[in-house]
Amino acid sequence: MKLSRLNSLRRVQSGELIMKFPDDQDESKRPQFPLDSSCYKIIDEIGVGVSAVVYKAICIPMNSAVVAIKAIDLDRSRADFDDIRREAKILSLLSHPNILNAHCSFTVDRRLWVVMPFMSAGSLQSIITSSFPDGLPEPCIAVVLREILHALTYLHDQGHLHRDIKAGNILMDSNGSVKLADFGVSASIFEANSTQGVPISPSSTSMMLKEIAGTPYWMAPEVIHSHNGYSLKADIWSFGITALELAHGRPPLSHLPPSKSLLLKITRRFRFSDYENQQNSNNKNKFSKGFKELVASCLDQEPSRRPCADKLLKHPFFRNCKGPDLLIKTVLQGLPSVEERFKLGKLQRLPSMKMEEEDEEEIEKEIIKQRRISGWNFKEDGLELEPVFPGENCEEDECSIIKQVRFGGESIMEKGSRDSSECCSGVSDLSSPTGNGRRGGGEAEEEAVDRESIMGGLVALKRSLDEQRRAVGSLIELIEGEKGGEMSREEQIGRLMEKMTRELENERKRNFELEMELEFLGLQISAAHNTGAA
Amino acid sequence: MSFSFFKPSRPKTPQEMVKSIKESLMALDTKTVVEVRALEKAMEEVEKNFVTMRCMLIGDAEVEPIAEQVSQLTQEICNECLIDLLIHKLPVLGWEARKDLVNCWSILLKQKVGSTYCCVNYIENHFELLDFLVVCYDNKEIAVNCGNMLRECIKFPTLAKYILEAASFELFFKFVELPNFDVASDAFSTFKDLLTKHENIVSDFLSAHYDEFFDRYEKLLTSSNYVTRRQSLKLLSEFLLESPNSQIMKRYILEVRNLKVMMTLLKDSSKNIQLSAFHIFKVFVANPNKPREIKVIVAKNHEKLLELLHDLSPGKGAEDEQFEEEKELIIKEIERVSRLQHLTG
Repeated sequence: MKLSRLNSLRRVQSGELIMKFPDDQDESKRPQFPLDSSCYKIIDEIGVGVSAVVYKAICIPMNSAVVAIKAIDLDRSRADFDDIRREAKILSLLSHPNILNAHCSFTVDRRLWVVMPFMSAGSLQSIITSSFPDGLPEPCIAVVLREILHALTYLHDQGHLHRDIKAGNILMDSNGSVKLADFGVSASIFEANSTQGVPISPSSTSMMLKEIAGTPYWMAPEVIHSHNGYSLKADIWSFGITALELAHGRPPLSHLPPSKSLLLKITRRFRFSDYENQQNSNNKNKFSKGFKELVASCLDQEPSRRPCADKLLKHPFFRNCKGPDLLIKTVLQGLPSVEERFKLGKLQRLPSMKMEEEDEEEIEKEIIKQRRISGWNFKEDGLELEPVFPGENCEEDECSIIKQVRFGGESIMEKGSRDSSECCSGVSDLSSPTGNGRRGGGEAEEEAVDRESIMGGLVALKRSLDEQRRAVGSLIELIEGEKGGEMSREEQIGRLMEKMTRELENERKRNFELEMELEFLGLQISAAHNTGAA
Repeated sequence: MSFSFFKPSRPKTPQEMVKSIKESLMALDTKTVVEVRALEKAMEEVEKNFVTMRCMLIGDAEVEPIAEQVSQLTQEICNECLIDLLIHKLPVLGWEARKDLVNCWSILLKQKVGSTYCCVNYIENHFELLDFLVVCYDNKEIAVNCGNMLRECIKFPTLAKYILEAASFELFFKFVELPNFDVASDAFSTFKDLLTKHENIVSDFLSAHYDEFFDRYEKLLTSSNYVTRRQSLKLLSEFLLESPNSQIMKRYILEVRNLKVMMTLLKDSSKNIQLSAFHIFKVFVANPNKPREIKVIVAKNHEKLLELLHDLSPGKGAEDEQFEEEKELIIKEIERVSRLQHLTG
């Protein structure tokens, strides 16, 4: 550990040694970007979120160097600047070749401009969407993952969690270099416990965070059920999901809107085998054993069993890993430019409303919704990840039996019933007080579903539905009320429409999902009733 | 010794470690910038020493720190006046070394030897060290490191009190508006800690330096910089509305100039600023003992104020109800005041 740390320091310092003398020397070596917006010329828009726009720009006094500028609307960010301040602070204390750092940041009226190196190939997520819809070839995945593990090793060694690892936050440059970006929700485990005043090592499990942060599909089970706290290993889970994302072109489940996946869950109860067949024929032999093992170890339900980043680097999967040249040859060739992809994406986004759209504010609401997934089962064989929904534990056992019959005793569930009972033990359902009633895991007592508590659950669901509707209503109001600004009138209206349509679509999905869940619970009641009667 | 880092060797005792840190830091002086190689070597030595110190104080993935060693090391650092050297050499240290030092700093300050915080005691006898750290905000390479160290210091009342009352405190009003956002926002965090961490000390300070403090603070509230306006306004409500500062608050809301500032902010183009301004403005209006001048201003501007207030709404969230309630009260009071004949006539 010590050795690897020192080595990673070396890597950094080869470039940093020059910085030692603050006054004259480094000023000439490390470019100082001007803190004045008039020195930059915006060329194109390359990304947009709820409260930020990313531009491609040139810095005129720096020989027109190309940069990316993230312009964050500070008036949109809530109550305090704490998050933004935290990001600035964490970034200013990190320096690693695989971490995207800002050149500088300054305010331009109500916007914060963060000037960053322009990563010309854009995010892995956008690369995949545009050119590799079915995922990257395995050797390329290896290169990307290895670079990210370097970043994670450094980050974790410094006591930081990234908390939002996903392909959308991994950027690539034209030279094939890969960097981890977006520290908007990252946190320091030192600060979480700083009040105790007890010196604790970064590895120590006593350092726990409780706040829910991240993007749902990539979130570790212990983050979703954050009551027990989580630590560095939550990033390893997200890393595993990201590996799947690179391999399949999307994170697990995202190809189905949440409502549809729930629907599938329900139908699986009756026609499970058809679905299974289809799943396995697609992916079963596409990936190497090493890759499957690597991902499986990251997606262990038990955080302590997931390997740490620098241990993962030693995994055999990386043994014959190529250099960044491979990415240039395989991935970057013929890739449309970031600007083109963004424009194309903008057009496609309007009608299809994919879930991959990253809206910070939306995600916050998503989190609440996503909490209803109580855990994930990773099937190493097909390299797929499936959520476990609260209350279907007994069914899960059923499935594994079916599978064992089908595939001649070959166990598909990674660790069989232990997992399915374990991952369900964390059921703490925000929206439904029946969570307690279902906590029984895969045991037989589960059969006795309490009718009353189910009814309570349904009522709570209805309430949460109403609440969500109200939230969306007020959001629409807010957006409507927001007049004026720098944008042209048309552009403004266009964006408003886009946003509102998206909100509406999401709301519709939510409604549908909740209805499905109602139906599902209804099914459960009748099932319980039947067993009771029998 | 430390250059045999890769070979297993007898770990250093805390005394030896302090000695070698001291030597390696002193060695930086004897080398000039011209001797690039020698300087690099000296710097490497410092870095290695800091990694070992960090390891002894915080541990790493494999080693948990040993309480007794931590305590001995802290004691020795104070005995050998190493703190002076650590702080004064900060500007010339390398990037990783500075960070290691910052990590160690919080442990060292919090470490009790016997019944006393010996590092805090040491700083109490060498307050100029704090001034040095404050001034370092002007050097953007090390500003954030110094900021971290200062905030650790501010956790201790005696140190916070010193900084508040020192001449260098004035500098914060400048630092929070520095163009570099990293530095400015870090300086603001420190500024905020100074004004909120120890209520009683802050209250004493504000009473003793009322005029000069609020003169300066008004400049922040009326700054052309959006971030400065928004942050300073929010912070004002955080310390002004605290109960130990109630005397200060009572004084503040009697002054017409303060009311004017709040009214200006109430019609700021930013909704966030308007809302924060309301939470201070309401106190001026709700005050049962409003001086005549305040009433006159409210009465003269009542139409404009009512219009502004009617449009003001947080728009979302659970605070809605309380806000609406307060707003109604304030609107009623403004209407009442505006009807008082002797004011408008």
